[in-house]
Amino acid sequence: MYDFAYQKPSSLADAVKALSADPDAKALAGGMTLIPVLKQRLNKPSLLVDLAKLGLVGITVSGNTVAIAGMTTHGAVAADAGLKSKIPSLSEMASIIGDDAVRHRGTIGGSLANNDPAADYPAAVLALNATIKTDRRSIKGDDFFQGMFTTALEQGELITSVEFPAPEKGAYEKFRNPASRYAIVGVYVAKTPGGVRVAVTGAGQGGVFRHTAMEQALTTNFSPDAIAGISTPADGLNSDIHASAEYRAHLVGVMAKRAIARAF
Amino acid sequence: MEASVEDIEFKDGQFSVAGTDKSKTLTDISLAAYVPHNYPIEELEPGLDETSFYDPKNFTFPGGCHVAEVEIDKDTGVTEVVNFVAVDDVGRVINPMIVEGQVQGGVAQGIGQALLENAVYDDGGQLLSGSFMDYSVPRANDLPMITVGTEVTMCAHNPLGVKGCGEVGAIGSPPAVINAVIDALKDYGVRHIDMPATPQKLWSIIQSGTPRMAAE
Repeated sequence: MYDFAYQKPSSLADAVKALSADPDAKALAGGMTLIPVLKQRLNKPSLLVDLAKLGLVGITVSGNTVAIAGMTTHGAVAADAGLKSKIPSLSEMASIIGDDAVRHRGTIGGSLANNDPAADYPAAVLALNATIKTDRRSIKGDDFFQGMFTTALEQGELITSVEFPAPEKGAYEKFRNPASRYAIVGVYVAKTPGGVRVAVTGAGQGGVFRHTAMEQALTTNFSPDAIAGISTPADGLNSDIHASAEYRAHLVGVMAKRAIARAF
Repeated sequence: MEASVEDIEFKDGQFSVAGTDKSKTLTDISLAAYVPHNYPIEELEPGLDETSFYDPKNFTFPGGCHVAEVEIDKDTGVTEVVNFVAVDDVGRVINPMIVEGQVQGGVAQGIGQALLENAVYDDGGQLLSGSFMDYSVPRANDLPMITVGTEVTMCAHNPLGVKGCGEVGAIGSPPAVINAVIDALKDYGVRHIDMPATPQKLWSIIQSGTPRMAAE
């Protein structure tokens, strides 16, 4: 680990100010990705701004919307009864991120701001048509993810909460990397008031994406059979020692069918 | 004990002086040997140890039979070991709980070797599975409940009758699992699969062949 300065501001404005002033500063949420990266000396920030004291923790259900504050851990999301009654598929998804230790440190804001192409939350945000609230604006999920490890966030911009409208039903199916437990392919299918949405994580070289061919087929017939004839092109999909692009393309179909069959 | 060496008798863990009621236990002597005060350090070096070399007449050969039952998800190629029974003859079993644990641990390693653990190198010799983010060791939920049984045939080459069980779990389990996988895929014409039988490898086999009829 290289040396870095460390701040733990107690106001959002101070955190944003510190991060905006220094292009080499980094925000520290749960640290489940950043700390290992620092330990391997793959990143050399000048300053870490710890977001733990900003009070960005908690889950609020109002009407049909669930708002999750940015620093809420996956474990807290999985355990929240209000969220579980509104969006049980999101509750379940949070309960299978990483492992116990990761779930009790990792945060929704950290996961989304990092936009790891194999992370779970990006699939939930896209499939559920969530809105990302920052210190300065609202960003639609469809506009937020801009390629692997890249988002619409500006320098110093911090996620304060994420608003999920409750779908009629949904489910997330993940084919895990057997070692890391990241998604080799994860498919979140949701039947929302605005239509069926299918989001795929883990597979695409550019990170999470929506599967529009499946969405169209499912609009008239929300059943696994409806997508039986839809194949996913392997072009543009990731390939690694665990899964080739062709295998991933196949798994997208399998996971999607299972998610549709299990949607709740 | 103020006696000459010739008068000391040793019996049942006790040193006693012949013809008297003076005695010391082996424990007393051992303690005294390591406690420097009251010790005739000019005459004797502290400590009490003895070394001997035992060369058994022959090696020991544990033997056994491992049976694995697997289920393969045709859609994904994922193998699940749903049942595993290991029966080994390790000679006289001195501590049954340790034998059971040792075999279970070995079977876990063997299942890992058969299905998960993969040292992958690229063409330049670079290890691609160099961290636990990519090198997959077996975890509890990769394993079934493992039933361990023992049969006892005393080893004739040593007085204890023991054979040892250090590696029996890890030796029997990989072929048992791989043979079960090959058996499950026999309708696809599979006769050999290199370890580890990863989901992608099995999916490729399932993809490439249509099942043959059992009668063929």
